[in-house]
Order: sequence, then C-alpha cells, then structure tokens
Amino acid sequence: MVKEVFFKGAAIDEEPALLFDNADSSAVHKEPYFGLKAFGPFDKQCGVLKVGIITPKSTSASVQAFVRTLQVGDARYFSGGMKTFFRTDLKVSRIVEATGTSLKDYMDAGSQFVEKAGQGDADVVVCFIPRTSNLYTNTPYYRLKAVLSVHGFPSQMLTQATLSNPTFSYLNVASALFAKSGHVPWALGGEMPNTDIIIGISIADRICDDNRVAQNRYIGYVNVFDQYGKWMFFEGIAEAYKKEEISGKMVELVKRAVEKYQIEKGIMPEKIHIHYWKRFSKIEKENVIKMLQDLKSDAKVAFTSINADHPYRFYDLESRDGSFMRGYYVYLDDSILLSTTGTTDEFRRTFRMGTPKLLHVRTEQYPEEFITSDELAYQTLALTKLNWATTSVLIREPITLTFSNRLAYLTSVITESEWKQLQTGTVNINMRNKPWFI
Amino acid sequence: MVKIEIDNVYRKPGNLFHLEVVSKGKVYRVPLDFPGSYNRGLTVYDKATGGRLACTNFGFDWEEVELDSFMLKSFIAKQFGLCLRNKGYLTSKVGRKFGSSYIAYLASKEIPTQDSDIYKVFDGFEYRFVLIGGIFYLCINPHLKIKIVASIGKLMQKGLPAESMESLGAVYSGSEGKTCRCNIVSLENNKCYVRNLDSGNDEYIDSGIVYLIPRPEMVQNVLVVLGRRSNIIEIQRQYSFLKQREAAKGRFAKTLEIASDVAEQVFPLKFADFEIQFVPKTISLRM
Repeated sequence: MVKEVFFKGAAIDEEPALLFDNADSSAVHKEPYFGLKAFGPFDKQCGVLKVGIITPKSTSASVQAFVRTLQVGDARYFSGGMKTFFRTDLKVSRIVEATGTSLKDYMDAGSQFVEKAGQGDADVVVCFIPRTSNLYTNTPYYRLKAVLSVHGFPSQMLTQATLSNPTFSYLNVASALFAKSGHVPWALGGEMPNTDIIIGISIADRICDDNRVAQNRYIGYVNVFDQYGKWMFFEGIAEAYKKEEISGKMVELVKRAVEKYQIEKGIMPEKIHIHYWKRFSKIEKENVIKMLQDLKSDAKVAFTSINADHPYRFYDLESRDGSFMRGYYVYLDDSILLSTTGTTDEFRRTFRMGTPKLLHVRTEQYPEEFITSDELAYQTLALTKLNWATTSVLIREPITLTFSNRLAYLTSVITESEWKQLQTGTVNINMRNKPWFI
Repeated sequence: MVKIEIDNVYRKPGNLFHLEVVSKGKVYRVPLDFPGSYNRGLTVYDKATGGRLACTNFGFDWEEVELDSFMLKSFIAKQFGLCLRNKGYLTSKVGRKFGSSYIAYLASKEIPTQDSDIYKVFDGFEYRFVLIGGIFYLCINPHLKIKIVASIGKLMQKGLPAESMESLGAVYSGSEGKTCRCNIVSLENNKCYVRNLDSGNDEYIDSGIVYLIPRPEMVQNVLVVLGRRSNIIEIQRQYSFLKQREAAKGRFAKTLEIASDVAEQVFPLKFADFEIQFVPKTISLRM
C-alpha cells in the first residue's frame, strides 16, 4: 500500500490595494485604471509635464496627434486624459524631426536633441521608432534610448502598432511618462508586513563595447523600494568588472542602497529584503551580513530568490479555465510556488491566456526568521502590482525582478563609457530618482 | 494505457508524479584511476569527488558508499533517460536558471511544416526529478522541441543576407564535440567570425557547422527575411494551448496523457537491485 502524498497550499485573503494620494489614505483601489480615474496619481505635485518629441518627418503629425490625445483624452478608455488621470498638463517643449528612419538618422536626431535641449527643457522624450526585432541591439530603439539617457533624458518609445491601435495604450504610455519624469503614479495601500526596504539586485553579464557585446565583464545595479513598494532610486556600479568580483560588488551595492535609504528616510532599515533571480551563494550571504554588522546595524535580512524558469505547474479544476488562481500558493520544503497570473474572481473582465507560470520563491533569513511564508507570498504578489509601465492587473513578476530585467536588456547596448556617464556626475543626479528604464 | 487517478476532493492537481522506491541496492565508488572496462550506463557522476558512483560493483572490489537521496535521484534520472532513449526518444538538456531539466521527444512526433529544410518542431515534453519532503517526484510538462536544421552556411545559400545574422546568438560544435555558445560578429564567404561566449575569444569557424540558437523569434525572423510561409510563433501558440479558451485544462490533459505513456513505457524502472514505481495518481494540493 503506497502512502498518500499531498502538498499543502493556501490563498492570499485579499487582493492588495493601491493608494492614489499620498495625503489621503482613503484614496485606494485594487486596479490602477479605476484608482487613477477616481483619485488621480499618488504624487499630485507634477503640474506641467514637459515632453520632447523625436520623430521622422513622415510620422510627425501622427505622433503629435497622439501626444495631444494624451493631454485631452480619448472618449473610450482615457476620458479626460492626463488632467483627469494624472492631474497634470502635458506640454510639448521641443520637436526634432529625423530626416529618415535609418539608425544614422535617429542618432543624428538624438544628438541634435541633446545639443539643443537643456535638462529643464524636457522631463521625458517621446520617440517614434520603427518596430525592430528584439534579437538585434543596434537599432533605433536601443541606441536612441542610450543616447538620451546618458544626457539625462528619460524616453518613451512609440511604434506604428501603438499609433494604429492606441485606445488601450494611452493610459499605459501616460503612466510611463509620468513615472519616468520622476513622479509616483501609485503605491501600495498599506505597508508590506515585516518589510522596511526591498533591494532588487541584478548583475548583467552583457555590456556593449563599440556596439558589440563584450563578454566576461559584468555590471551590477540595484533598484530600491520602500515598505509601500514605492520605487525609491536606482544605484549602479560605474565600472565593469570581472566575474570573480561579483560577490564583492554585490555587497558594495547593498551597502550603498542601505546608506542611501538611511539618508533619504532618516532611519536605518531594520528589516531588509534582497530579491535576486538566482540563488545567493554562501559567500554573498556571509559578506552582506558582515557588511551590516560593520555598519553597526541590528538589521534582519532576508535573501529571497524568485524564479519563474521551472517546469512546475498546478491547476485548479474548479476554476473557469483550469488555471491555478491568482494569489494561491503551494508550500514546498523551504519555499513556495505562487500563482500571480491565474484566473481570479476579482478581475473577471481581465483577459488572460495560457497556463500560469508560478513563481518559485525561496528565502533564507538572518539572524532569525522574521517574515513568514504567507507574508512573503503577500509581499511578492503586492510587488507585481507596481509596474508603472502598465496598468494591467495580471503581471507575473514582482517589480524587483521586472525592473532589473529591463535594465539588463538595455545594458547590452549601452557602451561602457555611456554606462559610466550614467552612473556619475550630473546625469546620475538627474536620473537616479527616475525609473528611466521601465 | 496507464490510468492516472485525479484527486476529486480538492481538485487542485500538480504536474508532479509520486515515485515510490520499492527496493534499494548498493552503491560503490569507482576508483578514480580504474583501468578496467565497465558499463558506464550504470554509473553517475559524483560532484563531491569528481569521480563516478556505480549501482553495482561489476564483480570488482570497489568500496561501498552510503546511499543518500541525492545519489539515488541521480541514478533514477540517468536510468530514466536511458530507458526513454531505448524506447526511441531523443533527449536534450534544457537551459534553465535553476536545476536540470530535459526535453524528450519522438522523431515520429514531428509537427509538419512547410519549411522543414530550415527548422523542425517536435511535440515533446520536459521532465525533471525532484525531491520534496524526502519523496521523489517526476515532474512532466508538455514542451515543444525546436531544431534548426540549416547551418549558417546553408541559410546564406538560401539567400539570407549575412548582415541579418550579425550579432545573433549561435552554437557550434567545438573540440571533442563540446557545444560552444557564441555571438556572430561577421560573415565572410564560408567563414563565420564569432565571439565565443565562454572563453571570450574571437574565432573563425566554418559556417557549415554554426547554427542559430533555436529560439522561436530567431527562427521566425529567418523565415520572414527568406520570405517563407510557415509561422513558428503560431505553431508554438497552438501547441502551447494559448489558442484554447481553457488553456490550463488543455495543458493538464496533455500532461496526463504524456505521464500515462511514460508510466507504461518506463516504469517500473529497474536497474541493478533498485526498483522504482510510478504511482498512477496526480499529486494533490490541500488548501
């Protein structure tokens, strides 16, 4: 007789709520669309958002019309435009027309823009680019983004697909523009349990050298979030380094993140979470703990690995499509499998497809356990709702990973000298509090 | 056909199937400099020592070692893979961030396309052995296997411009048959100038042995540039159940079908004095 084996699971009681006013704790909703429409953004100090435009002559009129609709709104899904959803006026401050659509044309237009525009002239630059396969990196998308970024201008790319079918894109583009200009569209409606700071780590193994990928040189960066999941800042190491230096550089990044958090918040974080897509090595954990001790900190630290790259699947044969419902999770030995994109009664109207890929979340805590598996499941689910580049509610990965992945992609085309420029001097001061890479 | 039972109380099954260890044999350490010949199929690599462990001593005077769960998992995975190959399956390792997974497929399960001179797609499955709470599970998930059959040289002969392949990821067979990952830097005549991603060195390779990485987007890009008609992204969507309204139910049913086939063809898995049995019931989740 074979003994019956089973796993234990649980469900997150309530969908995390989002806050849409930093001065009014009742301005909450579970969905960005309805929250922004009813209450406006979390940060209501924006006033006027100055937008630059780079576009080929041939599409200039369409791009300007798109930006105008962002300002005045679209009757179907974005009624009232930026004024209603973000309490902000959009003003076009500068337009540069590229003479054609080749990479050179775009590079020339980008150079012309940064030569003429001072950093106060545009909060963000809207660029119309041809759609290219993401297999290639030497394209207008990447190169223009790199050129503008290293001169302190966040950018938002548009393609013909967006212009041809803009209805559901207006709000997403508007949200991205608002966030990239350094303002907060929304945050969590309540603190995440046992969390002061979350540090999303990424070590990218690709950095560009004269537009060719250079291997065996690494760059590291972190995105830092507070207890409300609010993105605070981005911090990177300016110089590329060798593989054997990864552990040391990772500790340096965590140290800088903790110190900057202390400066910004005025307190030392006591409950530190470090999110990474891979498992932490023993030496990485030991060095972080030692670094915190050297800072005379009594902080507790959770090393959390989050991975969606595995074959494990669970199903719920009682749900509409058989998918394992959003917010359900499975306890494994020392980890959980969490569904973030399964069907849910909460968002019945939301279109979903495929079988949810569960997140495998594993944590190790020092000096003792301070966050339970249930709290960790909630933290991870809540962090999926804070990607300001989209107002969709069914996002698989938490932003701690999403933002790192976005940046890792971009660094494959940013040259070492451009990267260094981004991490130092005036560009860094202008860009470090803006999620320019989302 | 093995009938797999579904837990009808909780109705939240997973794709992990319980394996019961019916009998355990002994394990021996193969001496590092052992000069004789033996069946390596009954051995596994021992990460701790860099040597090999065997599930029989083949009559030699080898040291017996204490069997632990991780060793047993290695033996089960190895014997399972061999057994699949004996049944005609082809297998390959999957590049996952954590853990080792394999894809298995039958050549007879090729999905017909109009461009099989460039790529082939097989209806297969991914599998992995896991140890949770001291119990072994076989994880099975339907998975397509995509193979690019035309080398860079062949693609150029078919009209693919050299510049459209520059900076793309590729693989080639290096010394001793080792698969090397590389980025294509440039192409000249029948030579491919690549940057080896493991060593960081630049090398000139015969373009007849360099193949693009079989990512669907990569294949589709090639097809579009060559003006071919098939659409690998559509095939992938169809066989990944994305076109079904109840995609998860479709994937689950397919998982059961594959598990049933595997249970019938491979289990009980017997090697040396070991016997592993497949429990024909889906793992159940209790909320």
